[in-house]
Amino acid sequence: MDYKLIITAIITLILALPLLLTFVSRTFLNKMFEIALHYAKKLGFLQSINGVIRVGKTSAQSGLKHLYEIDIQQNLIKIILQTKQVFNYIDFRILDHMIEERLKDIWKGEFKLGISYQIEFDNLTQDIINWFKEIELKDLKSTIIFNFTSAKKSEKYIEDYVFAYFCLNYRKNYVLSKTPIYSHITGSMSYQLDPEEFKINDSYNMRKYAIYDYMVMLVDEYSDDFAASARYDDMKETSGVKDYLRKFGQIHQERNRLITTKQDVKDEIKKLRNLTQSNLWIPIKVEQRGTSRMLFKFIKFIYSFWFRFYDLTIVLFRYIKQKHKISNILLNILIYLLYLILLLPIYLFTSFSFEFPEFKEIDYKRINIKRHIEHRLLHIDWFLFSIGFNKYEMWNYASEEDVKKRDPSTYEKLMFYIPIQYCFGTYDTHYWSMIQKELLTHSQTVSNESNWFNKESYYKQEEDKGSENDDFEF
Amino acid sequence: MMISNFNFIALTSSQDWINFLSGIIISLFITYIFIIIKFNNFINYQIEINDQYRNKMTSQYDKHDEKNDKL
Repeated sequence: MDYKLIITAIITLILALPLLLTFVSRTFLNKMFEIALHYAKKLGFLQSINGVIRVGKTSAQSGLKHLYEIDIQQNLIKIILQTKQVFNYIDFRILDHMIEERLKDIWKGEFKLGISYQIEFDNLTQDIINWFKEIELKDLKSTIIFNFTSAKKSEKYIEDYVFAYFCLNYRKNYVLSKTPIYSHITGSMSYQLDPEEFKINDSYNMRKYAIYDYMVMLVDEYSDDFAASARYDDMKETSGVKDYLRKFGQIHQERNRLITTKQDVKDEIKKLRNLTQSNLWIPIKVEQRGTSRMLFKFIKFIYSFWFRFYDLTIVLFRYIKQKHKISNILLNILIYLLYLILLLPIYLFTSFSFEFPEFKEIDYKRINIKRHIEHRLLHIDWFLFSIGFNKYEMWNYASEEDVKKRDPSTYEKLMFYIPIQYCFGTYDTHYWSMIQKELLTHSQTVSNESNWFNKESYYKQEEDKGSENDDFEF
Repeated sequence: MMISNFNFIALTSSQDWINFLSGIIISLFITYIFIIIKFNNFINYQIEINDQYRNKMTSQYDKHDEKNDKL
């Protein structure tokens, strides 16, 4: 064999390997994301995410929320396309124009869900049907569409079309949450959810209900009022929470999802037994995939290599020039080489670095370049991390009482690969941090540093506690 | 030479293989240089945007402070 051929083959392999590896891993991750989307569609409409602290519940909730947003958007587009296929004799340019004209009046560019929207949508549907009857002589009221399995009224198709059109083009928001959360799909913040509205009987009486269809509803432990704090009271409840959760799928026509996160599942069992359809348990802490750590290390090495080269050549030469102040260039170079021979082993094998406090100009230039590189590396790090995927292992239990049990017959193991952008940074993880500030600013007490040698009298302290109110009396 | 005429069986001698592989190496080098330039531009663009936002935010806060001072 020719050795030249072997060498060229090895070089080709080394050069081609990064491209091939990137291609394979990216294809794998994208495929797994599609599978995650499929898994998410398979889950029930009421879900609870359970796990111990710091395991990734909130990020999993955020990731699942994004998956459902994609699902909802796909469904809306599907409904619009299907309606257009069903009514091939209707000119949808006219219909869309009618909807747009009316929705402009209703919506007015406001980012809130009004109470009277449902009435307006119903009126709009009726107006459209009447218009088609009078002008185009097409009856949409009393006709049905048969799809070889069942029949659906034409009116219902138009109603769904109007609402889907509104959601897709005007509302552009598919999230209801008490804690604010950002969506990368629509680029908007969530609508406010009041968990009190789940008590449908009360909400009907108080006329206070703003949960619309095509929404992902998020309830986390911080905002979950009726699970943790009120677990024992109101056992025979008449407010309608149980009723609402039991009929959830049918009330919202299987368009909505409710995701709750909690640490301790047993909180809710007492009160709302077995009403959560998919109970997801996260046994292992979330892991990151495809964040290109090796590539980042390589880039870091290249930058540090370049900076060390810059240190040993330009910076050192400048220093010598300024320190010895010799005008002869050749002599300068000679001194530089001497310095280099002395410094090179120290520089290469120890953590020694240059510092020139007496020559500020050289020092500042050098530090500026170093800081510029660090700033750049930070951005590269952020970018490479952001294109990665989060890997969640979730065990899906059908019954809430089985959660945490290691019996394989009770759960189904699911793998979720979700882009990191969908999981991290969508949520203000320190949403209640103002409590600390408010407490501190309101407080009037002081905490002193404790003294090792000074032992305070125990009974004196007791006395002090007793006379708390006399502190300001002298 | 037409691309359709290209045949692996024609690469009989080792010199042919070396020529073929060096062609791949050159094209890979060009690809990498292209990727590095694109990536570099992208990072530059991101840093620029971040700086813009930072300046924008700070200027907004400055204005806010000025207003407060006047009040």
